[in-house]
Amino acid sequence: MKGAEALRMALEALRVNRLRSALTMFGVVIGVSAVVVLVAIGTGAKEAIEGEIAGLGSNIILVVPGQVGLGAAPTQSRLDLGDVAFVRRVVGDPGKVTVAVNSGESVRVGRNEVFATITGTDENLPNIFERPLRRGRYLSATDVDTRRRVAVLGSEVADKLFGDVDPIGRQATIAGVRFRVVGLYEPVGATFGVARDQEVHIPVTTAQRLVGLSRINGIAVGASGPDEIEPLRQRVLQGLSGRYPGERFSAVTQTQLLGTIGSVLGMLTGVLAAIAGISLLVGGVGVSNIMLVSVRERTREIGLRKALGARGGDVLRQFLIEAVLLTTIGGVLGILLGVGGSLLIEALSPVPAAITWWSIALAFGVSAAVGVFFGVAPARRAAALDPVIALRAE
Amino acid sequence: MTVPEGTAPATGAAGPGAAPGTPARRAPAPVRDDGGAGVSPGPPAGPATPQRADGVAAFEAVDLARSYRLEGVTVDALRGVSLRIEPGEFVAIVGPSGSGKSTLMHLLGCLDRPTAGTLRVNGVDVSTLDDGGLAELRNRVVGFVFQSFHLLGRTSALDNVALPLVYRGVGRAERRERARAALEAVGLAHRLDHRPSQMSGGEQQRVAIARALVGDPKVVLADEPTGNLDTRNGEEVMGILSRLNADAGVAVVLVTHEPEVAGRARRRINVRDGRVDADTGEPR
Ligand SMILES: Nc1ncnc2c1ncn2[C@@H]1O[C@H](COP(=O)(O)OP(=O)(O)OP(=O)(O)O)[C@@H](O)[C@H]1O
Ligand SMILES: [Mg+2]
Repeated sequence: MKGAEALRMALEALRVNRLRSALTMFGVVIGVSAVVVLVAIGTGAKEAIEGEIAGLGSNIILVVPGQVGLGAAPTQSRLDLGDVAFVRRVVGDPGKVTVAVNSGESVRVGRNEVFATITGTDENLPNIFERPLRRGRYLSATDVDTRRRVAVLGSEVADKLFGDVDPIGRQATIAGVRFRVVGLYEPVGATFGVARDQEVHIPVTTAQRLVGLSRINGIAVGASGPDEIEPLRQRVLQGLSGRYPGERFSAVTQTQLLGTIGSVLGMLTGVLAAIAGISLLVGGVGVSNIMLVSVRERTREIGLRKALGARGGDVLRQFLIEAVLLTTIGGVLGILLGVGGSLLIEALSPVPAAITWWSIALAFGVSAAVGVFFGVAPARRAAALDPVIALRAE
Repeated sequence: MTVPEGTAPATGAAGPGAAPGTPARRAPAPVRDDGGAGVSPGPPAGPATPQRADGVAAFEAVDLARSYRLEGVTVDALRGVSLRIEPGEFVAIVGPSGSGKSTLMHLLGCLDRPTAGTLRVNGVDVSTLDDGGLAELRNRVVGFVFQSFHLLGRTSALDNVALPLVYRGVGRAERRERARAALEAVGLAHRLDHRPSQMSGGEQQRVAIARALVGDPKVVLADEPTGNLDTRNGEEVMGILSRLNADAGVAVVLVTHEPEVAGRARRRINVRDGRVDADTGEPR
């Protein structure tokens, strides 16, 4: 019997039992589409976060007191502006070191009021972070030195407070203190769920007075190239440890963040894919089950085919192809559904979804393999039937 | 409705293609069209084969036995049957219920293997064949007709008849052509696309006969072919089988309980308790 013939026969058998075939496929469709969608979401999340980290700027080292790790909150800061000056000396290039003092405050313009992240920083911020301006200017050294009450607004804050009005040169009240808007950032999106467009930057000195603190939250250092990151990190850490013996500081690089987040999200994607894979497996068991029923039902047909000259191999092939067709047709439908679902999620929800070719190829390959794996037992049973007994079956 | 000469459906491309009607028609041992991978059983070469000078017997059984074991109990369905059936013969096998007629037919038709004794089908000792070799004999040498027709329910008459050719690797167009010719030969040219459920019992059995002869077999084995039919349809079926035998030289071996049916045969073999009780007109 030729392969094309076996395929035709199998298609015919599936067509005859249309509803049953469709329901059996359904399990595989669900499993495969779940794999495609969940892998797309996992990959999408990973790509989005990695994009955010890369979008911060390049070669950045973040220095914070205490120990950072995912899930560990930074300990109470003991760093102050003196330490920033110290790090500047350690780094050697003062322009590549900037600082952050963070606080959440309400910002008001006339009747409009928003709650924003107020970040006290300095003139070096744009040297290290990717933070393009739309209008006006960045904070200057003079702003910091003279503790000016000036602010650079994130795009969302500006939109909410000023609407269509150009905010440059206008007044805004932050925590009850009047500031003058000198700059407006381009929208940059969020990083780690931190909406950077909802930030307001003011001079670090002004910020410390505003919130009544002499401490800072962190220091950011920009390395001159990728190869410089690690030595610089070591120098800064060693310097700070020498200055404060017995205390811990952390210096996290983007590469580390990318690595950590990448592996966590990769694991998450794997877990999601495995869960989806289980449903695919269940679909495969369904195929096996239905094929066994089908073999039983068609015992007489099998006996007849053998009586007419079908070899065991012919019968085996016929039923195996039926099983594989069930799962691969289900697989293709599942891929279509999964791709469609991913695109829909991407379009209609904030969840990012990136369709990957490997997940599609894998889903298809696995569904075909599931067909072979779960089809073999029923097909062998069919092939082994004794024609005389099979013909007598009811 | 007649069986035209050359019931062998007139395609001629494949098949032994020898002039039908001569009992001496001697086909080679089955060889697959697809190049003969697998078994190609042939009669063992040389004089060791006990053959008649005038040709290879369609069937040659020596002390054929078949017993079934059922939960420790052994049922001897056949207890040593020896017989020889020549090409072109018309044989009726009769005997009481349970005497082993169907068991014998299954052995002759290579649907089953004997537990003892030897059986040569078309000169080939079946004990030398593996399951694939047996399947090939079933496909090429014998055509089986069952009491209960055994047609595929959701399949047209044409495709039912073409089925044996599928397992021979014959292409679709040729299959359909040969199946159509075979259906014409049994007078069903107007029922090609009908399904079994849309046909009478007699028509269904004629489809089954067309299926048995589409592969141009040496022998048609029919186990109570008229058992499920009324007299008129039964006679029609018997007419077809008789003409098939007379015009195309296909040997016919049939089992029946009906004396009129058995009367059509030139030779009658009586089976009783798993043995041949009487054998009229054995050409020996
Ligand atoms: N698969 C089997 N397992 C056990 N015993 C069997 C089997 N097939 C047949 N037999 C037994 O073998 C004996 C012969 O059966 P067989 O079917 O050949 O009889 P038969 O002559 O065809 O009868 P009938 O005229 O009723 O069709 C019976 O006793 C039957 O019970
Ligand atoms: Mg019987």
